Amino acid sequence: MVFYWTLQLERFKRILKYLGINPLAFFILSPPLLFILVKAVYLQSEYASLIISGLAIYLFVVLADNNRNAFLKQHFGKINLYKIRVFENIIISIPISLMMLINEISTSAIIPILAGFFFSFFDINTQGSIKIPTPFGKSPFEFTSGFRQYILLFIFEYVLFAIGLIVDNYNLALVCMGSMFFIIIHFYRFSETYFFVWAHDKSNHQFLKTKIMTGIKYAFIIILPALITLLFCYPHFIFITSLVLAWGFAIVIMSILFKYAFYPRTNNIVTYLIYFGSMFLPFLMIITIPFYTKKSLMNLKLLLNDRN
Amino acid sequence: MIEIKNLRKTYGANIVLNDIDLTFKPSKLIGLVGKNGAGKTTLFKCVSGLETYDGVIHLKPKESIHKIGYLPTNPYIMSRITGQEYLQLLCNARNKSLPKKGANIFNLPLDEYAENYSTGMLKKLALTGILLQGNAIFLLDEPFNGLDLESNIKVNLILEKLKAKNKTIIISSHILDSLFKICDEINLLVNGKIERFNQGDGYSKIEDVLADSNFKQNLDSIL
Repeated sequence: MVFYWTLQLERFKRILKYLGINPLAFFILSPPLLFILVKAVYLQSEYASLIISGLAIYLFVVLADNNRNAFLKQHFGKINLYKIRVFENIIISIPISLMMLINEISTSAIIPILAGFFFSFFDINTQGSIKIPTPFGKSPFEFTSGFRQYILLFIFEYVLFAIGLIVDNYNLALVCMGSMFFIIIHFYRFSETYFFVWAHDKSNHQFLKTKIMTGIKYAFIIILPALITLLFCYPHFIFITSLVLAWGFAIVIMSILFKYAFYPRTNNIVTYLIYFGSMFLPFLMIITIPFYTKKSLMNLKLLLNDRN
Repeated sequence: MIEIKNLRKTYGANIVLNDIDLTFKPSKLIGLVGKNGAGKTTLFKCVSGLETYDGVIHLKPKESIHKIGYLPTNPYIMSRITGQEYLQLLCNARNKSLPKKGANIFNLPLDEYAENYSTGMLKKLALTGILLQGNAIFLLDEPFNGLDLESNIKVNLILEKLKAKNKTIIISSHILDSLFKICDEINLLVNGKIERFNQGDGYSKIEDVLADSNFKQNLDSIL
């Protein structure tokens, strides 16, 4: 068991190094950073305890993946599997509970620990096999794959959107439409293997153009019900709605370009900071979009145009 | 046709392919064998342009670079896409339309998520995909891996058909019996070099070269 835990620690350090983070710095800085993060959530929302407990439960669900547990059970046996699961969930839940307790003396701080213990004894099929139909089958794969993965989030957004309309809160409805674009850009987080780029009988320009056009078309399909409803219910806010729409399409385009600019992936934190920064400070896109376009065309040229 | 001259591929100090000269002609089934890590997949990747290399790989006609069907050993499948969508993706990539009927030659459950397929089913899906693309050159890395008996027979029929259609076909496999039966010639990759065997010469020499004299001794020491 000692080797198992040493190996997990080593894996974790390797991931940190891959992301360009010094492991020692991470271990020193993560407690104060976690504290600041939790504090910020408590300052922003009256439901902070629920939000933080929800995030902890999400982590426990991920760790309860049945494929991973089957592997552990096969090689370590049932008793050791439960020891591992309880221990790793406790490692996650204790700091979270501690931070909650520091911010608010409340019994809710016990939720992460209880949930962690509870989820240690369950296997959850995190993949699922029920086929969800999509209107994106003509041009796979980002939207077919992504929409199915994040369908619950889209349902959540549309429920919130409906609540926004019922309580006549335009801002809430608008934020819901805008945040759907945030989910959509996650579709481009995954880098397909070289094979799926190489297989295209297209030049780099044609390839990028097709990806962008597909992205815009399919993103439009997803947000269309929200957009029509907003334009119908709040016609006097058409300018703000259009601005959010333009911003949404811009971040979708930027995400596609970013993906291929650093294809297959980058581990540079600064690169990510600039990318995320451009989303929240859209004027930066005047620089980032042309830069990502140029870089992605160069990158794709090697795989598509310059073969042989 | 594929003409390879002085092909050299290194990973750091490790020379995987060492000045290889080869010609792969159409209408022939050409086998590629070698131990694990001998460089078979690297050779396929160099020919398809997925790896950089030193030397010359010349395709005739030149346009056939866009008509290479590469079947990887472990075909990669994205999560949450169905078999049908995978085929659609590969057809879109080559600007081909996916036939409404007859595409499912292996009777796969195309409306299910491909990530839930077995190894053999994935292989069949990936093979169907590159067949639908209408390629001129086929690089098949372990096409028999994980296939059931029926599918093995079907793959052999496919290979015969491709050969009759004047396609260039290169197959790597560790199942030597299958290769011995179907291949017109077999290339053995050892220490980065190629040794060519024609059907008439007898393939039994290949087994002699691949046999590891130390294996039995090592096995005795652990069992």
